[in-house]
Amino acid sequence: MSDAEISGAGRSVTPQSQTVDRSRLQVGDEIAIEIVGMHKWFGEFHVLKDINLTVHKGERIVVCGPSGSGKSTLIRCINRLEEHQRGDIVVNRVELTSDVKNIAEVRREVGMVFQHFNLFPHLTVLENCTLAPMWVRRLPKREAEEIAMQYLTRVKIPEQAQKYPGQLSGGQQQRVAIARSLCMNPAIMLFDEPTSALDPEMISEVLDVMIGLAESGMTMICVTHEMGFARKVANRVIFMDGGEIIEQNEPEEFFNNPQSDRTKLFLSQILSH
Amino acid sequence: MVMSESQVPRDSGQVYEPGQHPDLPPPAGTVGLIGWLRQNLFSGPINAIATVIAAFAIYSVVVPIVNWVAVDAVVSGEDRRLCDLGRTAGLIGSNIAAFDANDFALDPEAPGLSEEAAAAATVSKRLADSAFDNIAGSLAIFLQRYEGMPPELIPASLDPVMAEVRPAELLPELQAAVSAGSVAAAEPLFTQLQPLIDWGGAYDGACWVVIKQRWVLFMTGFYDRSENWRPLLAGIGLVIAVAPLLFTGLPYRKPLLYFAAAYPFFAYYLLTGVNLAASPMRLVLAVIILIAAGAVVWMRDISGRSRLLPFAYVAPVLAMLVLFGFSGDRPMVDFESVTSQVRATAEMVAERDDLRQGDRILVTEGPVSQFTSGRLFLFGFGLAPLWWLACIGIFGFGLTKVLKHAAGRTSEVEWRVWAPLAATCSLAAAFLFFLAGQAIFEGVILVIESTDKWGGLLATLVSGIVGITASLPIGVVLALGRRSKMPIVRMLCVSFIELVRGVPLITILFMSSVMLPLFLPEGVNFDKFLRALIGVALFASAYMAEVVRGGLQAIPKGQYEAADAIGLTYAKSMRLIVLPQALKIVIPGIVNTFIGLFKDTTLLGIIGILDLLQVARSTNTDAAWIGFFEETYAFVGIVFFIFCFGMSRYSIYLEGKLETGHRRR
Repeated sequence: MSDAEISGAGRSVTPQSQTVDRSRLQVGDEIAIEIVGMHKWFGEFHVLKDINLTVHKGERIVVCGPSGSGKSTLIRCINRLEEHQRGDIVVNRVELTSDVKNIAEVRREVGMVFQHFNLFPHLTVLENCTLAPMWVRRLPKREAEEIAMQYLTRVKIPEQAQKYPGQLSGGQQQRVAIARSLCMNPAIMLFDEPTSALDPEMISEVLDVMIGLAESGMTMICVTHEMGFARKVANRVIFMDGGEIIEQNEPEEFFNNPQSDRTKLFLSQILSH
Repeated sequence: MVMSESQVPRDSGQVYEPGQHPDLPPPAGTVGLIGWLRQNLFSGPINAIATVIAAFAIYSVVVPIVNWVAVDAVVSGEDRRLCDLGRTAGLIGSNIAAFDANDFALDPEAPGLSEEAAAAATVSKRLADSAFDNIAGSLAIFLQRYEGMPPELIPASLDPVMAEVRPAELLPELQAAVSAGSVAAAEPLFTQLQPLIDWGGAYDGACWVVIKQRWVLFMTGFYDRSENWRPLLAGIGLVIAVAPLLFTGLPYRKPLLYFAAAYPFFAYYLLTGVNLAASPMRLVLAVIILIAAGAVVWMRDISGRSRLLPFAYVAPVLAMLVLFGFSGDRPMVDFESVTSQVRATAEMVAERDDLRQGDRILVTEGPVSQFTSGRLFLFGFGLAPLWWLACIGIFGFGLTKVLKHAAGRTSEVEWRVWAPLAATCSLAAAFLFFLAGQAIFEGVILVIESTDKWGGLLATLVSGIVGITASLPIGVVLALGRRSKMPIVRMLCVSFIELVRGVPLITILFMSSVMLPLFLPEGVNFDKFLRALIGVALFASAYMAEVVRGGLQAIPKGQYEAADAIGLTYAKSMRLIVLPQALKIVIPGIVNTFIGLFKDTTLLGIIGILDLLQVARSTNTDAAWIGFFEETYAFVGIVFFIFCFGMSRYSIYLEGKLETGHRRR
């Protein structure tokens, strides 16, 4: 299967013209995230079962799997939006326990982009971006605004800075959400289905920004079904089902030569329509 | 493309090339006033009939009200005599209108009448009889009142009427006709009386003289007349303090905000009074507080941002409270007696007695010297809070700019240089002013006005505003507590809210005025008014908590998660993300609670506080003004309406201002 077949067959509309220079996507030796023997329950329901995952600095990981497989819960555990009940999670050499200081430290270093953007509707785009630098990093307002404008330019919407999120399109809002996370200068970025609430036209503008981010060497974990994106920038694709990591591999191997039957079925379903 | 009138194609059948169709003006009668009327008032036969009926109903309600309130109202004069004169003249007219010659001619004993008909005839006959009698009676009273009136009180419009009607000559004729029972003799006289009745009709509306006469009582109750400039000044200050909070676009908003921050203290000392004869112990304590504040600011310099910084902000206020606060004749909270209880020393008590006597001596000096010293007080009252705020504000910013210019650097210098300077300056000022107070005034500079004397609009506004300003923050804290994950906090908040909401306000007020003193340790004396204020504020907080909780629940979970994910602490995510949105959603509910609370302050009358409504009631039972209850109640109603309607309009304005486009998740 070629690139075009995958992206063209699915919902992905990543522009064909864009080529990614994979030589720039370097993976470091340093460990960014280490998850060992992690379990999580929602009440009686066992959502995540014995998750073991090591992410190096600069790695771009795409997590996919059927709905309810625990992918979102997994990445939400990484910045403690969800609490795990057993096992260890170490992010940037900080272990996630119930210690509030550790949680705060991890959240300062980990940015997150949500499916529904979750921008703050009562603040302008610029204020959305400067809020965390000013109140968490305690930067002076002017400096925070400079940083915010720099990232808004990077996601190509500096002209919308004074608007409110409610006045922007979905794609623009998601780009603002990415810029908002970047303003904290995070070491790791988590994406929780960033394109699944968007119209097809707007998906590419968000994916372009994410590809650019990957090229700059950001450590990324991305829950998405954009297989074109996975093929282009990911250096590992993780397939989850029933709260377990079923298979993980390099994207070429993963798409062309899936090992388990469950993965084959999943890939045939999302690529066949 | 907009076409001018001449170019408008009249031919409706004209065909245009695709994409060439011009923008045509809408058909006549669908826009403008006519269009609006047609669409909204006369869109169909039923609508048109409803419009006419509604217009008639509005007319028939509004006209009498306007007549009573304004057209026929009496505002001149110093007492009720003109009102009485007008009403008596009106009474003649209403008796004549009530008189029915046919009824008068009825004979209940006439043969052939059934029992029911006879009974009905008896009633009608009796009514007509009494109206007939009353016409003469009310004319007699009118004459009596007219003759008793001093000439300067009689309006000029009455003189020609009196000359024309000559009621003094008509009265004997009328009385003769009445005693003879002769309708034929009386009816021409009725016609002659008509100009007098018409004159009375223009004077039988509201008698606003009663409000004019009781104005001071309505405004401030039994607050000393010579000290009434203080509530007035506090009221003017209130407007100046509230304006920058309500309207963000106001010019000079920043300095006004500093004033708003200082206003509660300003108003407190202004209304209750200040006794500068503070004990040396208080001085020492105040100095310690200010030195500590200075130290905090200096330390901030050395070790970066200090958690104690807020303390430095409030320190001058604390110092002022310690220096002068609660030292009056009838203090709000008698901390002094608590200390004396702890120390149990007789000297302390003796010293206090001396101070109290000192107050009384100065009180006798008269209003003029009180006023002068009052102005001096205003000049110097800024001692702590205003001085401090001025240092932070004008002085600080100015100095910062100069320093920035000199150093050629931006930011950074802002706090370091001027904040310690401000602390030191306010410390010095506090000390100097204390000495000046001791030396010049030998005690009181604003006579202590006990809250027992507060009344009228003053009491209503103080209780309403204190309740409003206290209930919102307390309500927010309770609402957050109720949604807390900590079970004990949640349980406490739920119990408080449910307990207070489950009890009528009157019960709480009675509790605060009767029961609370029984539970307090001996010697701790809480002012009755203060207790009532606390009761009202807590009662409103419970309602406010539920309103705010509604807003908190309307905020999508994603907002909480996004706030967590960017690393905000709980307090910051609430303050910066959740509460601004939640409170915006529930503005109508909040203002509803405010309005309810403001009107509920009338219940303070039940525990003996002379609020606006109680002044009206006391006026109605005053022998000099019996019979004018409509005016007093209407006045109270109008005053409440002005405040409540103002709040309601402001809430609409605020909602519009905070609208930021479509809500998204």
